[in-house]
Amino acid sequence: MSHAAIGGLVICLLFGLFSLGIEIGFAMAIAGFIGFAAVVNTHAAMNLLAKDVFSVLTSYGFTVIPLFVLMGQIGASGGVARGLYDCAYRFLGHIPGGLAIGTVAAATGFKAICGSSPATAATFATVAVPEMDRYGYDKRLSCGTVATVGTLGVLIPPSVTLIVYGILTETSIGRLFLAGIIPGLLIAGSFVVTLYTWCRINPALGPAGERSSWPARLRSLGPIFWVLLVFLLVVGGLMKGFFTPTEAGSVGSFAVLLLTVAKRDMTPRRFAKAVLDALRIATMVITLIAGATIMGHFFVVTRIPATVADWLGGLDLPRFVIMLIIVAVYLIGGSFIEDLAFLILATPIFLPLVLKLGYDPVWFGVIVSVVTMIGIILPPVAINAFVVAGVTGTPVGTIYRGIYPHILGMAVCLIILLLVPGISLWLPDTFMQ
Amino acid sequence: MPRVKPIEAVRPLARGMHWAGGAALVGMMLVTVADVVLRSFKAPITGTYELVGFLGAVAIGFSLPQTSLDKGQVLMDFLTRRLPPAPGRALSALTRVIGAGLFALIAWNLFAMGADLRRTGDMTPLLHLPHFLLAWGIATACAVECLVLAAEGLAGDGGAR
Repeated sequence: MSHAAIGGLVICLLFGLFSLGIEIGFAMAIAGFIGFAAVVNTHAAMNLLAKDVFSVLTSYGFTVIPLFVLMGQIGASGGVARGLYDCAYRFLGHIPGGLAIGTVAAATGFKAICGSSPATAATFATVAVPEMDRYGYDKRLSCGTVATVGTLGVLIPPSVTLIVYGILTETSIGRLFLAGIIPGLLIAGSFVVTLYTWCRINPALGPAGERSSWPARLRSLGPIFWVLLVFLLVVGGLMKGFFTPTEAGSVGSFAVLLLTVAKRDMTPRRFAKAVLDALRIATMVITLIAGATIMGHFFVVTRIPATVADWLGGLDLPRFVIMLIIVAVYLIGGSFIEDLAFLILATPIFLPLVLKLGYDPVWFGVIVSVVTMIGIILPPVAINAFVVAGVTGTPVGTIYRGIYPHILGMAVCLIILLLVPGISLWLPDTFMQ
Repeated sequence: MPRVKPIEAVRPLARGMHWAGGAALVGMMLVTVADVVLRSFKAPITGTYELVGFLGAVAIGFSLPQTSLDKGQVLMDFLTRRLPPAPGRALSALTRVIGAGLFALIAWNLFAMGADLRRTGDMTPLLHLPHFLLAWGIATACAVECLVLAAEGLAGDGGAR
């Protein structure tokens, strides 16, 4: 049997395992192991299993993941999100839909320290939804917005998705972080425009809240200063080459810890919870990477990525159309499989083609991150919608109805970013050439 | 004497390992921050990368069993969710058996790899930390993960929340 035929069978096996309900990381390891045994031999596949798990778990490079997740979990447990939301509320709460727009502003700030999307959705579901309920906001608007803003962490540094992409593709994490800033702000802007337009059309969706006094507004600015300081320390340190990504994650976690302790928002119990929660998330991500590494070695021996690159490259289509096909594959794949998992699975297959077409891997990282953002809130596997439903007790269907208008805005941003790579590449090209 | 369910028997073990992993994560953060600070005084801690890599393996490896018990791994369950209870439980048990088999294989091969590393005396270059201990540590974590998945299978529990 040819390698291509074995490759096709193993991919069918992989999707069969996914649909049985086996953990995605485990399924990739099993399919990769069986495929490698079929192509090489069982003894080599046994060795591969042990070596890949050992090398992923002991790699210094991967230690960046638990440390950046820890930074976000400490921030989430230590009341940083509440402080930012309070500030946004003081400035924007009095305009129609202002509490929802304030949620976007606060979440954008919070993303500067927290790279986990479901963690942000859960945090703001706890902080912002009760406040919006108090002012009679429609559940579609409040819960849909909270589920959507959580996705900003995929793009705004320090994004776990960008870190994983950087590790998989051996692309500079510092350049990826810088590349994510303007597109992240663009998408946050699209959320604001969507909310403002929606509330102008139907003001009953988001009634205006109380107007805060200027002294109260100024007093609420403190958390922004601290978050900005930590963000500059982490991203600036990485950019200037003072820190490795792991060091940036450690220093950022320690700085957020000191900040929350100084503000008396952190207790030993909360800290322990943040550490254990961070480990749970990081273990999930690293299990996916370990599974994808085993699968990736199978891809290498069967030359599947090169075959895909040759086939798609030989279709005699403009490179932009090929890029649209790749984006569609990520979008459809990410709608059925968890998005980060699909990114980890698909990127090694498509990256050689992307490079062959002459695209910048940093720009491609931004594009797949935006697609991942859309996938996180696109049914049927919309993790953030499930998280917000779990925290607020709102039916998932109601949350989906609040998400759809935002997806439209994100799709427009995706097209702009596809057409104008300079939006993503200007910051890294200017500061990290 | 009352019989203890297998899932209840593995829970304390998984929890203890998770806490040990947590200590390793905090250790990684503190060692790295100390190294960054001391480096600015031209006195870096020797072998920080090695130590952090070691602690990272303990942090993640030892958290595997608890992550499974907490249903923290990602999977596709929108097809299996629609099954009636009895076939759903049978399918869940099957997925646990397959998962347990995978981790049994990984643990077995990691123990063998550790034995090889011990024989060759493989160590990290600066701190001379023996690699075989790490391989055996991860193998132990994978063996416990195998027990967790097997116990979940016996309890008719799947990987989904």
